Amino acid sequence: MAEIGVTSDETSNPTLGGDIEDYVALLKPRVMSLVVFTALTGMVAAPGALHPALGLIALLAIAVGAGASGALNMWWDADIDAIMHRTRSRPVPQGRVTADEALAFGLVLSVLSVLTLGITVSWFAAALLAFTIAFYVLVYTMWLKRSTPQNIVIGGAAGAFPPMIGWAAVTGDVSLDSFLLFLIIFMWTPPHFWALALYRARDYEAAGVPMLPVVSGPGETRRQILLYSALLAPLACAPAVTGLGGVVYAIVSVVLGIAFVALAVDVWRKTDSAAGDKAAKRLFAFSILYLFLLFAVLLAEHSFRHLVG
Amino acid sequence: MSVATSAEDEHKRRQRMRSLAIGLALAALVVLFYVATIVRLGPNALNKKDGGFTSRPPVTQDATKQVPK
Repeated sequence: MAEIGVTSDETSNPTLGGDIEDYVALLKPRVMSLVVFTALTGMVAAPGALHPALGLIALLAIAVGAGASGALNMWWDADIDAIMHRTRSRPVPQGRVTADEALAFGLVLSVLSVLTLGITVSWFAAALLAFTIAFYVLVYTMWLKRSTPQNIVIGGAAGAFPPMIGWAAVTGDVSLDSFLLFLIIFMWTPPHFWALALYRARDYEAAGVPMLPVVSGPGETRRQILLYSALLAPLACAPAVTGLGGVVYAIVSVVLGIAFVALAVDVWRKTDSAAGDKAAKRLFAFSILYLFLLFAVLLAEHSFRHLVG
Repeated sequence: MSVATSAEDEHKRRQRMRSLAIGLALAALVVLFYVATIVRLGPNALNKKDGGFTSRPPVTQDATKQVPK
């Protein structure tokens, strides 16, 4: 593990031990909420039915598994988290939780979440969850993040697995439709994170993280954002073609896709620093809404089908 | 109150909260596995007469013949 740079903070006192809210912060609750939401969509959209109690247990296990990988990420990345503005207030760089405590917390929760999902719901889904945690921690955090500007392209797969795990919890396998849900998040991740990296490039540079704007410059990053957005927009409409999405999904995915590409074009065109940052922030904010709405519509359509059918 | 006592009190409070959280998490895990067991095995899991095995398929005559002697 890399050296941890603990920042000075009057409120930090390692001898006190972490408070409950520090351990909650280790789980990255905001990321967790997106994971729960996409996993729930996968579960509801999957053919078949799972007892509601088992569904809740599966969601809880997936959420805890995602939180565990967040804790392990914070354990490994404490040195660079201490440098970047966005992450320097996290519990480990602040010294409120030690790196060893974060490691133990993450490992215990990883094992518990996988075993719980396997024993109570599906060993196939549990294997997918274990793979996702391992991929995020070993492949993305420990290897790709500090070694290549393609880190979030490949590492983005970890964030794309939850709907597939939710699907597998119901059916016990994966299908073309669950793979489509995976692909949508996978293709969404690069423009989402590169938009953030465009206006946080100095932070990443100071921390030595080879994000695309740091390595290839903002021009190439804008071009790549546009390219991935142009691929994402039609791909996100595919569920309407396979039958996974209904009429509402078809309309929403087309409209949102056009808006996404238009904002990406705006980012590509505005090379001026201030205007460029503003456009990138707009795309970043919209990308979150975009993914949320796509999955919300799928969730609503399938919930309606369950109610009617 | 001295600074040292205050820090010690805070340390104890956090330790107590962590212990409480671990205890609650373990209790939740027990409830969770209990619920999962009942859901998967059905209400017969608690039926002492047959040990909760009524949800298993009955052993057929053909199946018993295949048991090696």
